Amino acid sequence: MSKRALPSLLAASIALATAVQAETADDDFFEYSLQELIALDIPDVTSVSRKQQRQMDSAAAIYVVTDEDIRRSGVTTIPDALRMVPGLQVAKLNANTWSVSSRGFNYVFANKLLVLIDGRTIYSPMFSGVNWDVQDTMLEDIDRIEVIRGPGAALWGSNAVNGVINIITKKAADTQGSLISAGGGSEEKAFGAYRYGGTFGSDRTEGFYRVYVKTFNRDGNANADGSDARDDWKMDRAGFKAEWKTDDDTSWSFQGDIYEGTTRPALMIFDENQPAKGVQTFTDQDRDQKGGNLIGNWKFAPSDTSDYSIRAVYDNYQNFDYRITEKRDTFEIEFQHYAKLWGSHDLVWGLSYRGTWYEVSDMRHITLYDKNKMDKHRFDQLYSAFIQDDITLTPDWTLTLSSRLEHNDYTGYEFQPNARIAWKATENRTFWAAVSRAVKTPSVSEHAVETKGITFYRVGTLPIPTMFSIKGNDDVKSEKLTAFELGYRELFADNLRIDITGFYNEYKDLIQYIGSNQCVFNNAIAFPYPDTANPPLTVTACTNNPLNPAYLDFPTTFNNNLEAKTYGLEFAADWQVNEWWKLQVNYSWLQVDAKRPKNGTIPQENENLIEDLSAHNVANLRSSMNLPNGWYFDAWVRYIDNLKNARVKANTALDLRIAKQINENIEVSLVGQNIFENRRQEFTESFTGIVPTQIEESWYAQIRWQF
Amino acid sequence: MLTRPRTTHSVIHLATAIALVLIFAFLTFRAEAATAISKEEKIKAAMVFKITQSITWPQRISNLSVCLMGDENINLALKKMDGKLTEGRRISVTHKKTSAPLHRLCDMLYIPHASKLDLNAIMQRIGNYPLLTIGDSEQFLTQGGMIALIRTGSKVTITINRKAVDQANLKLGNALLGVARTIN
Repeated sequence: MSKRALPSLLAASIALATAVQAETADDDFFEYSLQELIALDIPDVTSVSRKQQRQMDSAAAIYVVTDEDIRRSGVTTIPDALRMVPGLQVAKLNANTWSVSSRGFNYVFANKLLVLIDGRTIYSPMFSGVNWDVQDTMLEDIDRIEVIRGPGAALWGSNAVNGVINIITKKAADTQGSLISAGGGSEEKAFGAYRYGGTFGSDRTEGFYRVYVKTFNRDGNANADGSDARDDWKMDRAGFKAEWKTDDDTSWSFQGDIYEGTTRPALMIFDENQPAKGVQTFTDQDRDQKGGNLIGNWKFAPSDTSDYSIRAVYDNYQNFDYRITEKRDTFEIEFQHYAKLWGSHDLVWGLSYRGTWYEVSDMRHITLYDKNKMDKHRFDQLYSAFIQDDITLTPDWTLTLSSRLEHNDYTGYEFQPNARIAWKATENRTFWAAVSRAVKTPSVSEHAVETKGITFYRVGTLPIPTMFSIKGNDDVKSEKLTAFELGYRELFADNLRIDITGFYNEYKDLIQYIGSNQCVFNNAIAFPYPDTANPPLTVTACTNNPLNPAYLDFPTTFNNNLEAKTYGLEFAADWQVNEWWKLQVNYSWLQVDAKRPKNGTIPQENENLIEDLSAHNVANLRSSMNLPNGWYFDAWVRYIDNLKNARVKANTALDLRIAKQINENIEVSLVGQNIFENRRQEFTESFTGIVPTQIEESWYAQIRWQF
Repeated sequence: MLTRPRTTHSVIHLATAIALVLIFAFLTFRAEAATAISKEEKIKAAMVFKITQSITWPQRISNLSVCLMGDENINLALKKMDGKLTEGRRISVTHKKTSAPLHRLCDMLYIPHASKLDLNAIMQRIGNYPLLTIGDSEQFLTQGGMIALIRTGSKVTITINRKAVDQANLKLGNALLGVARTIN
């Protein structure tokens, strides 16, 4: 399996972000390895062969999860597949909520990471993170997941602060025929998917399409006492993709998905209208979600040295949650032009626009407001322009300069430049370095959303419910990052590849929680409360009746008064031990040092919160064996250090997969996940009201039949 | 007196123009010939080159003879290997007729599917001699070919006919086996 060839969508879009070696017209690929050759995409003969870049040569910390990695790891969800990527930390809060983060800030609000599926951003601004429970497709149709750690903002825009995850589905031409994938087991109760791919039009139009349907029913996790947590997860999904050409230079693609499903996260809430009930735990509230999207691509490539493309995306998302009902429509259009100039410059520039419409109701615990007034509608716009120049200085040195200028409704103009240099010391040895500036612009959740009755003070010693209400701040600024990266890659003897990256990040204006003096509950009375972190200061507390309080609420808001430094090392090695055995190992080390302003009243807890979110050490070891007679045996051991803030101990998990290729078309497999352990808590958090539940050992059997 | 030089100049201009057209035509022709090699063919040729680094022949080989057949475009891409060094051996690429004593002249043989050669006849001629055969179709493997470079969607995949390779006493390296699909 090849992690080494930087695949073509990257070339088509993100490639721009990284320094690359240009593929010239007379490049014969003789210097590529077999692994890279099998990963090369053959473009339509007449269309532009935009530079093919080798991962080996790219000036960014890139890791590619291939379709084979996905298949052989036995994962059934996209976030679980991301666990194998060095530098990423993945933790499951309940049966269908994940925290996925890169280089620190490991939280359900993983807002410093940009995630895209076929160029469509799946970041949820209202939630300030990714709703992983609705991000899916037929896993067999995923071509690869390209993960760039570190800033990708110059090319991708805000939020691409600590990384970009680009999930790329296969071309319709590569998914021809029928495929049935079905199975079931202890946690994966039942799942099935069917895809059919065919052709349309004439030989000249080269039209290919596929359609798929997918359904699954997953069991919930367990509570700490071993009982069923009832956070089951059901989802139905269907989609299509079509590609064709209208003439030799013009290609089109059109794709879409619709989905509908239910999760049932256990919720911990405090209802201000029923204060006597105290903190209630709901385990029977269905959270229905549905949505759909359409993506159209047009590309005109009149020559090998120039092309133009337009992408339009429409996305609809509806979330019927006990805390809030949210409907969101997003429309995005992007224009891009690529030109090769003066032989050594690969220039790309583009313009894009995004509009997001929100419609909310049933705001029980999450409220959208505008100028202190509850609001049911909101419309946000984003304009941006970017440019990148890839300069081949000498055959061995490549310099990439890029920048993005963006205008958003919250903070106005943002400027995000980036410089990268790659030195190909020898054919199989590359060093690279990068300096970047990226910003995380505030999302609607930090500006205009208020949460109440879902964030509880967990070390409370008082006999009554003690909680925080959190209100967005209109004045909150962007969080800024200056990042320095150094990398080294080497390929030894065609069967051992090593990739080492070091980084040093400086964050300014990080958003933190601070006390406010505005009560949010109805008829609440404010009074001063001793601030245990900063005696003899006091903070504002709110309650219904100071003489006989039913609850205590500390109103909280945001400001930008925190700074942090993070630094770390990421190491990955792929070793083809012999013809039938491959080992992949990676290890990531991370340190976080937050700093509050010296002369303020900011408690130490705010520093600790940032410092203690992520694990210091994460490691993965994967073994893939191709045994005789069509048998395959795969094992995956992963280790994650303790998460201090989440109060989760260091843990090691083991997945095993055994598969038999019965004939060319049928494969059966048995997968064990998190085996040899009863159950495991991976994460806790206190801001969403979602009750953490524990992962159980899972076994499932699967058949894949192609015809 | 004034007209003669003009005529001379005209002739020179005309000759220059014709020469330029010819040069241009020649360059265009060359350019066309060069660009006529598709990326798929280039990738396959590079794969063949990489495969030469991953094969062990039972006999000692000082010059690696790669033989081509038919008049397919890929031959142009494969010819670019000529003179390259692989594992200390110099590659020579030559074109052979099907009637040639292939087992004596070739260490590797590339047989393009599109060439419509009589594959059975070629295979019979080769027998179990240690001659690595490479083609580009599934059918090639079922007819006894050893390695097929098959275009699948937008990629080129490598499939190995293990039985045929073993019978010819050839050994395949890990770099190749690690990326190839094997059938028996």
